[in-house]
Amino acid sequence: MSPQILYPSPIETAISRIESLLDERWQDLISRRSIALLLLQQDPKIRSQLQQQPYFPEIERIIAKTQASMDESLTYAIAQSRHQIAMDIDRDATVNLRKRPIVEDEWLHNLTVHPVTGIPILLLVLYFGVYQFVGVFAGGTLVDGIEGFFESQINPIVNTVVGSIFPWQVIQDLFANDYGIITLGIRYGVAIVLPIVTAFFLMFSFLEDSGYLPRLSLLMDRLFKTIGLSGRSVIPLILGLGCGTMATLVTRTLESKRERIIATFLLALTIPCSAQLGVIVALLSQEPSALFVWSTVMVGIFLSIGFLAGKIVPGESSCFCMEIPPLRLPRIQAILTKTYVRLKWYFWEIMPLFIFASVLIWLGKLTGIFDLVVRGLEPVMLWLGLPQEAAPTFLYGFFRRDYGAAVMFDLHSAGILTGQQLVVAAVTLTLFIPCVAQLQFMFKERGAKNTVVIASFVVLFAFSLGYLLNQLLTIMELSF
Amino acid sequence: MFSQQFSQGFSVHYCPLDYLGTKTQGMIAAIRNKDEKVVKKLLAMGVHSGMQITLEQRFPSFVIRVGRTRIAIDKKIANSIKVKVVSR
Repeated sequence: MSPQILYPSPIETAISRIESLLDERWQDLISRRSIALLLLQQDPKIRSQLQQQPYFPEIERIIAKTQASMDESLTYAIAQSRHQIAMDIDRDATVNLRKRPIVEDEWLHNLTVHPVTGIPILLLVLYFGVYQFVGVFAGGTLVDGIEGFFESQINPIVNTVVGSIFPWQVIQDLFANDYGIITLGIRYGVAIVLPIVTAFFLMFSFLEDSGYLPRLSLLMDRLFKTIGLSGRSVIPLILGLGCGTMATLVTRTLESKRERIIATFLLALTIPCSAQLGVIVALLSQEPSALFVWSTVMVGIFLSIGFLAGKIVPGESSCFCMEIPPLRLPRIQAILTKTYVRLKWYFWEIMPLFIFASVLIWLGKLTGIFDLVVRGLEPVMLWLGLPQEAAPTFLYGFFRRDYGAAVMFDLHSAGILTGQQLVVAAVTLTLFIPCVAQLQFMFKERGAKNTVVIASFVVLFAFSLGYLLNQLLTIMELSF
Repeated sequence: MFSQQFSQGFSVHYCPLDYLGTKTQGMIAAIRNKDEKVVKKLLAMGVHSGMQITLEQRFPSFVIRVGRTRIAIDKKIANSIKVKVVSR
């Protein structure tokens, strides 16, 4: 067995010339032949390491000369030689491989990727996987149970204990009562986020291991191209229906900077997270026509704003290239392990943010800044045709995305919000700035400049669209 | 975009993949894409000159089978794969 691959002669010549230029010290780390090959393939890391060396210009000259003498790019030629060897080894090593019919899973594959059957399957997967399992079961049933337990059993104990330790109301509010670190921050993490995100990760790991996700990307690629994204972005956007914060983090798997910015933007503006989705759907489903207006407006905004973003955000449009693995029945053990590892990581990442949010609310109330903001929002509410009482929903909604919608529910029950106002408020609140955790992750992933631009646009757009929608519904004399 | 070459008296068609119909089989003649990253990615997935290629689907995305691998690509990448058609 030969230990080395023999490349086409111009490349071999270049390799030995570059090898002779490199100094001794490289020998211990990687063989000089490997370094020469990496340089010929324009590897950015090794290039930046050698940039300072006096012999680097000479290496550049050798590479340019070699490239000029070949038809194909050096990368291509090198890969081709390697692939040839691999094929030869494969031929020698595989014995008597009968032409096995690979057709076993073929019918299922065809069902999932054919546009006529694939799209309905996709909708079913989203409806049962995301809406029913994550939204209704985890976001509704489980959250109600666990949160109810917290509010009735744990919070009163915490309030009493904190109250007996600290005689000062201000300190008590920091840890307990309505917005305390324990009673709000930790309760929110454990009672709301944990069940929803667990359900979501379970479903997501199942889809991932079954090999369905690449097929989903394949089906959506054309549509997503029109909004400046590629099929690959389907995955973070679907994650966004679970938790926008996590989805913002996952946008780092996208290939181009342009695609990452557009996906982050659409997540911030249009995609409601499962907590929010649950409350809004519950609120509006009493009026099917209101639910219809809300979802039509949201889908319309998603497509049109995405289309505009695709035109405006600079950069090359992204390409789509993805391996389609065979469909498999996932192993339960693997799904559970994956879910556990993700959950553990996610929880430690997100928990400090919830605690931070509680502290911010505490500070805001203490300093009176919150009252100021609420008073500033009141005229905006009137402008949207909403009652003044709706102002705090927007402020608190920023700290707890579902909280805003929940307060709306109370306002509706008290008869303060009527049908049309409910639709306008639901649309504006969905569009409005995502929760504080997502904003923090936008800072972390996309940088301050992009975050400021996106956030200011989102606020402006949410209120302007709410205004327009209110006018439009009034003119059309739609009543709910 | 069709280029014809005459070798040993046969006419050979090198055709961009996106011009072909489904179920076309052929051999990859070349990969031509300005974006080196795309070429590298295709190479890493085993899409090389000389490999057998089958076009399985054209819509909503192009689906190809190369060796034992199945890959979904968009029209732009499909255009950069030039194929010598064996059977249609």
